[in-house]
Parts: sequence; structure tokens; C-alpha cells
Amino acid sequence: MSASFSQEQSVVVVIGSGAGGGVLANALAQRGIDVVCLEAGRRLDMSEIVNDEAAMFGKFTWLDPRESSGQTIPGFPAWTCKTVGGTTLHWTASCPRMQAHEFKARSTYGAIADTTLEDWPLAFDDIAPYYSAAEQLMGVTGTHGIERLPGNNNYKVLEAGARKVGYRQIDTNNVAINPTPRDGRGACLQTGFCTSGCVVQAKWSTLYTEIPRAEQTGHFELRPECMVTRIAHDDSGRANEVHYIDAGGTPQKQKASAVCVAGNAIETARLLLNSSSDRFPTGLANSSDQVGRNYMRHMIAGVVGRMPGEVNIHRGAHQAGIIKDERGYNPDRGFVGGILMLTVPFAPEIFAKFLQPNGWGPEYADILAHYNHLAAMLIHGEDLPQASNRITLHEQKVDGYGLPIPVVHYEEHPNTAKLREYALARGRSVYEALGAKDVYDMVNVFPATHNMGTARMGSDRKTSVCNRWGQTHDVDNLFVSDGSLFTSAGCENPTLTIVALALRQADHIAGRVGRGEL
Amino acid sequence: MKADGVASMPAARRTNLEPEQRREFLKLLGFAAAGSAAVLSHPLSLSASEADNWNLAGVDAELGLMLASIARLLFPHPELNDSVYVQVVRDIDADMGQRPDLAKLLQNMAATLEQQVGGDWLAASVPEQVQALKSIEGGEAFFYLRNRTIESLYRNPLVWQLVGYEGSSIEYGGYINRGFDDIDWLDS
Ligand SMILES: Cc1cc2nc3c(=O)[nH]c(=O)nc-3n(C[C@H](O)[C@H](O)[C@H](O)COP(=O)(O)OP(=O)(O)OC[C@H]3O[C@@H](n4cnc5c(N)ncnc54)[C@H](O)[C@@H]3O)c2cc1C
Ligand code: SF4
Repeated sequence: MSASFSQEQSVVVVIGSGAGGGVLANALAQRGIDVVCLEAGRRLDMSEIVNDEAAMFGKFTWLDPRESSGQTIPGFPAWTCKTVGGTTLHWTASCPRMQAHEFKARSTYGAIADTTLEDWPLAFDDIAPYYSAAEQLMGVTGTHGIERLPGNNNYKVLEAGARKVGYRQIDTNNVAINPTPRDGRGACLQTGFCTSGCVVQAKWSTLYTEIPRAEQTGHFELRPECMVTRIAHDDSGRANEVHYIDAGGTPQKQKASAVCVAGNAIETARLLLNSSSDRFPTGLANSSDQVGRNYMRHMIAGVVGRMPGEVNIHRGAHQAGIIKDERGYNPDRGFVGGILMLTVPFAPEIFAKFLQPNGWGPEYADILAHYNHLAAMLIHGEDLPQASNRITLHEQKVDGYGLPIPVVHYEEHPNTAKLREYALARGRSVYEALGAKDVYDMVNVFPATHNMGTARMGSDRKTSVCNRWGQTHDVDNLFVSDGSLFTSAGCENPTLTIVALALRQADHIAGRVGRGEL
Repeated sequence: MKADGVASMPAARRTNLEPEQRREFLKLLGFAAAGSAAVLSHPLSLSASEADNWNLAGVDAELGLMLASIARLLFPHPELNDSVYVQVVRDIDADMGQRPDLAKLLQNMAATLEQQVGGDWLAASVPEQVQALKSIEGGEAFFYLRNRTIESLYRNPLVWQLVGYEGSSIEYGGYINRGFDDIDWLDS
């Protein structure tokens, strides 16, 4: 049964119910710790999840106003969700682990101008057991005896082309998608609608895993449609109260023994900045001036091949296909950072909009008429932290809750530009090797999907916001529990690492609760 | 699970039909016969009297015909019946209810385009029309029209049939037994 706590009772307040918040909240509740999860979005019923991208976009996307500058999509710099389950409703469940050297980015890559590159304050070996726990929790294929998904057509094209150009590390990826029924969830039916929410729940989402499980403990209360506006502190500088606006638009307050923020990097930074006070005039936990800075989002680009035969790209799990040969550290390529190439499908509308951002006319329509001949991959590359890539608060504009809106600024580092050119050329070669009639790049057309670094971990409190447990340096009982923590980005999709860090943080918090520190 | 029952349903929506079958199929769905000369030679085969019957709130017949013709010029699929492009106009008309500035934006655009082709838009040749559209490419009206046309056209199930996108699949049990891995032209 779901618990119901008084607002006067001091509980652990978790902000956000996505990958970070959902996992942390459940891990704490399982240990008997009382948790209230405040989630800005609505709780969708499974019957509302349909195979219709446009309809689902309207149901779960974060559409509150954001502004942006630099190399961003104006007004829509990032693609996140506002719903119970957060962006795990929308994600494609690709779950590779980060590589050991990526936790030592600064020592591996050396000094790079105009970056704030640092090593993580924890090593791969520290996180390895939590990776393992996260994989079991989420049911990641290719780990712990869980078989891999079968490859779909788009994967078969990727694999065949990759082999022709000499790549060897190609498989259907580690995905948090059930190949066979597991853990009360169905098996993947290869519907091809991963980003619309998975009707059969084969794809892991906190909406139907962590959240209901936490509710069963009797130590957890979810409050959906509750937008947190401020984290307040007492005279000693400890976080003691969370202010929010409930579904009816009424301001509310919840007493807190500890506060964990998992609003997905942009919102996490924004909330800390919006929680400034006399004691913390530049924002809560921001004595370092690093809150909102070092924003990373991966270099993401698409490569689309018009193939000699039908592909039917829309059939099957989206990112169950990967080439890993380029993911290592290899400065001979002329840049640092790794690259992953993953399968990705798009619906006709998305190709029409973005294949050529201003494309129209007979030739363009002819490409679209051959939709069923298109094969596509999404390239992910590491981007480097820069102090000037950051989230700030708009000086005038406020959203519907009266909160200053976030402004996202991102400029590509020269290293990223080199990585991108290299990756695009390699990606093109995969389809050209199979006799593609044409190959198209999709560059700078996607909003960010991976948001990292905006409250990063570090051992030096002058250059970071959190320590190795995700506890803020400035406020003893305030934690950050999402991708904001990443010291560097690696090249892997971030969520497995977010979940592993949340599980590790849960152990830390539970230990401190047990010792009476929280 | 709910979907188990439908997993064994026959392949109801496969698109790899034989050419002859495909033509018949498209006709059923309201497509003009693929490659028909009439459709190819002129982008739009509608008349003003037909447009009068569209019953639109904010778009008059003249503007409506022009918008339909622009939609076809932007994304010309010879196999598609004009009705699919008229649907774009209907969607624009619905937008006007939400966006008070839209009518003016499009009327100004129409005036610019007509000036470019020397008066009557529908009487102008396709190359003239294309040239005129190119001249407004960077503007707000063009941006709106391209986006709206895409969202109307490429969300239209009739267009999906044409390009081979099969839409919602869960009611057919996904593709696990319906060709998610049926590619046959890759040599092993
Ligand atoms: C199209 C797409 C595909 C993706 N595919 C993958 C993939 O294959 N693999 C991968 O690793 N990652 C993927 N991601 C990224 C993945 O979704 C995120 O890394 C992950 O969901 C982040 O978890 P989170 O907990 O930080 O944020 P979220 O999951 O976004 O959850 C944050 C929650 O906090 C809530 N919130 C925010 N602010 C407040 C506030 N002030 N008050 C109350 N609630 C608040 C939000 O409503 C939201 O529900 C994808 C993302 C997108 C957009
Ligand atoms: S392809 Fe598989 S994982 Fe993706 S939505 Fe369909 S059933 Fe779920």
C-alpha cells in the first residue's frame, strides 16, 4: 500500500520519478526509509500509452518554456519528459557501461584547452558492483545470463556494412528490454515504438517497476503533478523543507530530513539556482559557482542510408544494435573521446523534417517516398566539459508556476567538431559499403537527449558541486541523484550509470540514516 | 499480457505487394493511378468551384487552392490524390483558430508569391511557382508552411501506405512474427 505522510513529518524528499529519482526512492523505501517523491508530471495509465509518436509526445513531453543559445535547437534545447517515470517512458533503453578509462578522463586525455576536464572522484571498480546491480534490476540483455535481443532489419544492415568496413565489435547491444518475459513484464514484440512508451512493458521504465514497488513497501508516497519550486534550509544551513505547487495550483510545503534532486540535469540546476537565499545568494550548494556549468550532452548525429532494397526501419526495438569498435581512447584519430554507432529508426515525419532541415521539392519527396529503403544509425560521441556551457536563469521570463525559466547555452568544443567529422565519415562508409544510393547526415537537428554535468562530482569543492556520493559539498543533507553528477560524459548512453550511481547513493544514505546522521 | 492474443494474427498490413496489387490497393485508398500523366503534368487538378465547397472558416477558396498547390510543390508525390493536399489546407485552417496572426502571415505571403509570378498563382507554370517559393524560403511563413505540411502529410495514414510506414503495430502483435528481420537482399 502506498503510504501517506503528513507534511509536518520529516521524510527523505526525492524530486523527480525518472531513472535517478525512481530508483533511489525505491531503494530507500525497500530499506524502510520513509520517502515522499514529488513529481511535476502526471501519472499515465497504461491504457493511455499508444503506438503513436505524435500523440505520446503531447502526453509526456516537458513543454514548459526553455530558452537556449549557441548550438542548440532554439526554445527546445533538450528533449525530456514531464510524467511519472520521467524520460524512462520515452527512452530507448540502450545500457552500455562506461569504460574504466572514461572515469579518468583528465589523466587519460591530458590537459585540453578550454575544457574543465577532471577525473571522476570514483573509479570504475567503485561503480562496478552497482553496474551489476543496475543491470539485474533493469534486466539488461547480454548481462547476467539474459540473452540478447534478436537483430531487426536495421541492425542487419548495420552489421553487414560494419563487417565490410572491418569493424568487429557489433551486436544487438545491452538494452533494458526483455527478450522473454521477466520480472512481471512482457517480452519485446518488436513493435518499433520504444520512444512512445512500451505497451507490453518489455522496456524498463520506473513508471511500472520502481514506483509501484516502492508503494508496496508502505514507506513511499508519490505525489504526481507537484512541481517543486524551492528547497529551503534552516539556520544551520541544512535543507529542511521543500516547497511545491500541487495539482490544483496550491503552494505546499513538505518537511524534509534529506533532499535528493533528480530533475534531469537542466531542471536540477535550475531548481538549485532558484533556491537561493541570504545564506546561499548565488543558489543552493553553489559556493563553487559550478551549479549549471560544465553542461554536457554528447555529440549526437544521424547517418541515413538510402539502401538498394527494403529495410523497413520502423520494425523492431530502436537501439538494439551497436558498433563498439570506435569507443576506445585513440588519439591517432585526431581527437580524444570515444564513439558509439547505434541503430535508430524514425517515422516519416521526422525524416521529412530533419533529413535536410530545409529540404523540399521533387528530389526530396522522392527520398521520402522510399522511406522503406532507409537505414539509419545514431552516432554518440563524448563531449568535453566547458565552464561556459551552462544553465542559467532567465532574468525576466517566468513559467506557469512563476519560476524563472532556464536558459541553456551550449557551444561545441573543437575536439567535438573533429570527432563528429570523423564519426560521420565512418558512419557513411558503413552504408556505402553496401551500395547505398545515397547517404545523408543529420547534424545539429536533434534536441539534447543526454544531459550531464550541471552539478558535477569532484574531490575539489572549488571546482565541483558534489562529492563522490552525490552529496553537495555545501549542504550536508542535500543530494543530487541524476546525470548532473557526471564529471565527464564518456560516450555511452548515460542512464545505466545514473541508475548505478543512484543505487550507490542509496547505500550511502541508508548508512547515514542508520547512524542517525540524517 | 494483452498483446499475446494478437501475436499470431496474420500479416495484415504488409506493404511488399506486387506492383499490380499495389496499384489496386492504392486506388482503393483514394490514390490516383501511379504515374498518371494528368497528375504529373500539373501539380494540382482542382478548380475554384470545388474549393468553394471546402467549408473552411478562415481560408477562402483562392487562398485554399494556393496553399494546396504549395503543399504539393513542397512534397510532390505524383501518386497522391489532391485530397491529401487539401487536408493540409484544412489543418492550416484549424491552426488559424488558434493563431490569430496566421491569416495575415499567409495572406502577405500569398501577395508576395502572386507578385513574383505576375498575378494569377494557379495560372503560373511550375518552374515559376518553384522560383517564387525559393524567394521566400528563409521567411517565417515558409517555415510554418513546410512544417505544417510535413505534420499533416506525413502523419496521414494514406501517405504512410504510400511510403511503406505501417503505423501502430501493437494490435497486430508487433513485428516479432511479421517481418522485423525479413530483409532478403544482404549477402551473408
Ligand atoms: C528520445 C530519447 C531516447 C533516450 N534513449 C536513451 C537510451 O537508449 N539510453 C540511455 O541511457 N538514455 C537514454 N535517454 C536518456 C534518458 O532518458 C535519461 O538519461 C534519463 O531518463 C535521465 O534520468 P533522470 O532521472 O535524470 O531524469 P528523467 O528521467 O527525465 O526524470 C526527471 C523527472 O523529474 C521531474 N522534475 C523535474 N523538475 C522537477 C521539479 N522541479 N519538481 C518536480 N519534478 C520535477 C520531471 O518531470 C521528470 O519526470 C534517452 C532520452 C531521450 C529523450
Ligand atoms: S520494440 Fe519492444 S521494447 Fe520497444 S516498444 Fe516495442 S515491445 Fe517495447
